[in-house]
Amino acid sequence: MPRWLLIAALLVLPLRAFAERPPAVVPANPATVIEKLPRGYAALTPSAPGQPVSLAEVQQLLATASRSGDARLAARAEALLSRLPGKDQGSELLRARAFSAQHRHDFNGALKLLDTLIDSQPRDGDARLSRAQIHLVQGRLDLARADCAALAFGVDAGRGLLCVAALSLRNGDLPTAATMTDRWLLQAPPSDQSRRYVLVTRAEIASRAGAADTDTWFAQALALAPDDVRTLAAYSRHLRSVGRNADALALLATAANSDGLQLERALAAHAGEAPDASALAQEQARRYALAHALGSQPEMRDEAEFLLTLRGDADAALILALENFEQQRDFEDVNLLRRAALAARRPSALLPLRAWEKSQQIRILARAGGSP
Amino acid sequence: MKLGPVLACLLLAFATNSAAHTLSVSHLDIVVPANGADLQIELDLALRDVALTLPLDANHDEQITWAELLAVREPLQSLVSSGLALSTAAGPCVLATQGLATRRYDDGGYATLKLSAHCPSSGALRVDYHLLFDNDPQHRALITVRRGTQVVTAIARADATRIEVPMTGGSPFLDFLREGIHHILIGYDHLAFLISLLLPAALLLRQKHWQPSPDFRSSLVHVLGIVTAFTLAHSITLSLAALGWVTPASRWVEASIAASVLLAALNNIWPLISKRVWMVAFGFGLIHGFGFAGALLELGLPTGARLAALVGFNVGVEIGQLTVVAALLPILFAMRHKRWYWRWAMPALSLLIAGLAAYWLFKRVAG
Repeated sequence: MPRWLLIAALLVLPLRAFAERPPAVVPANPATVIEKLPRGYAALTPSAPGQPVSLAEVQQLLATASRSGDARLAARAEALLSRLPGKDQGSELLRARAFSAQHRHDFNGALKLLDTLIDSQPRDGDARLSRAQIHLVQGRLDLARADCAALAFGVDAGRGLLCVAALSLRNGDLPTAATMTDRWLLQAPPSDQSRRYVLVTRAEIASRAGAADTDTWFAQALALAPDDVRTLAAYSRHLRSVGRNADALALLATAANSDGLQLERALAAHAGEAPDASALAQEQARRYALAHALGSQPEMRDEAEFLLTLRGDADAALILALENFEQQRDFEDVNLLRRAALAARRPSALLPLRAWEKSQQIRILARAGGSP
Repeated sequence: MKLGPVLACLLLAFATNSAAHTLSVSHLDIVVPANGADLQIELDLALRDVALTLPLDANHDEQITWAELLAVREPLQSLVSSGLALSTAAGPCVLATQGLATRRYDDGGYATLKLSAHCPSSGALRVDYHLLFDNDPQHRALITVRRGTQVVTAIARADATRIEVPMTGGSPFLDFLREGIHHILIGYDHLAFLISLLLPAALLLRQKHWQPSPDFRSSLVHVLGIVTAFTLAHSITLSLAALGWVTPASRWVEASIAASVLLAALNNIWPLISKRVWMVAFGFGLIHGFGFAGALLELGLPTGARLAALVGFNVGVEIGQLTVVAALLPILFAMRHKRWYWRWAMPALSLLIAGLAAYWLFKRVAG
């Protein structure tokens, strides 16, 4: 760069700080809608100061946090939980605390709480299945297998089916995973609260198998909760994976504002070469920059995907993907690490993945066909 | 609805969820005027946070209208006054509400509360921010304090609610020097005038036709003459206007500046003046000086250091101009032998500038 251009840039750059805030607007029409709240907010009535904390309030916050992806709700629930007596170890309270710990990615904290819960109520199938799920996310398939066995052979056969399905999905054994979830869906009453979760899992199995009925499964899950961020993100990922980027954008058009769904929008727009692709990528970059400036760590998997796909910075993506792999070893985490290592031409970065595969007796790299 | 089973289900779902970790953030923007006037403050609170704190969504339709925000204006002001305090070493600042607006950030809509603060002295500014932490320990406030071009940012969080911003470190001369540079770099009409004068800087007019200048030195002397005359002239009128001795109507000053750009650009296409261009630059510089004064007065001259600020601003404008000259002149000199440049590019660029200037002139006269 010529020196004069550098000098000019240095003079101008500090002034950019002035342009970073969006303009303040005073709407002329009182009926102007200035914000759409995520579904469930209306039920979260502001509590008066000094009012005693109720567990129902905590659960309501957590349920809405999960559905909307709004982390402020989980943080508020955690604040309420901290006001409850520490010695109170009721099962619902432990469950709420475990969820809260999981939300902030304190998997070990969540496991301890679930251990306590299972110790006190060994036949709590939900707690055991949750523990197995955390083990799966952490890549501890051996521990997950133990919980699945306990569920299937005595504690709760229904939850056992789901546990084996999750384990099979993690192993890449898609036919078994599909059979188990189908069997559960046939047996479980339609009102079962886990149905939505199972339908999303079933849709993900179909997506990974390239099945023709994937849309049907996602449609069933969406019918139960049209604004659930996890369902929307999973469906969007599927639509992108089969090149239906316009459909992904249409799916997310009216979805609540959240980092995860915003990334999905940006990825779909990028892949589909939509006119607003660049603007969406910049918005995502601003979100991450703000999060870092505020001292918080954005979801590492999402940020690594952003760096890899939208920024084309494979080296930076690989660093984050490796860091993320130390915490989470879900299908998407492993897949991201593999793609980042390929893009960065760093096959040695996959050594931890190979070691983990060996220790857990699974073969993900070979199945993915991406062994560099 | 029984929530226990729902939570059990959430535990399952969340284990595999790529959660969106959108934290609660507020933006507190404080502008400290250089002339010691009251601080101007804008506090942006996420409407989601307001909805979780006050009965904002009155009809429970999960859509917030402007009318609903206006309806909670008073409790919102009370909330802010109970959780935000500014002070200096001499004592607390007195906050006054100025208005309410809304702002859209990437993560959603915000309520913008406009405030002013009267502070007892201009020492270090202390910001005590306690909003929302009781209910949301993860909440963060991004605090930005601006004083001229000096920008200081800090984060308030539950375990760090007090922010001290040193406001006495800057010197008026340097602050206004930065402002001067800033003004010339964003002052599109001044830049257009300067570029119009520079475009033929490496050319000579012979028999009504532009031809390459023989050497760099003569081009440089020519340009320095123009720039010095322009600077001298605008320094005179800038000082006269900034000190309040001459106050021409800004509308006519702005229109005259546009006219000067138009004439300078047209002179490149149909040359009328080719000798003693510095005299023309001096004449127009007098007009542009009044324009610079307008920008300087908007910033406010500090009462205790008016001369330092005035000189700083002038020097800043000069540095800005010299930066443009230093950037353009070598390029123009390198292109002076290119026939396409003096036959087509230079007149075309001049025509473009003339068109823009005619538009500005029309708008400024008509408006």
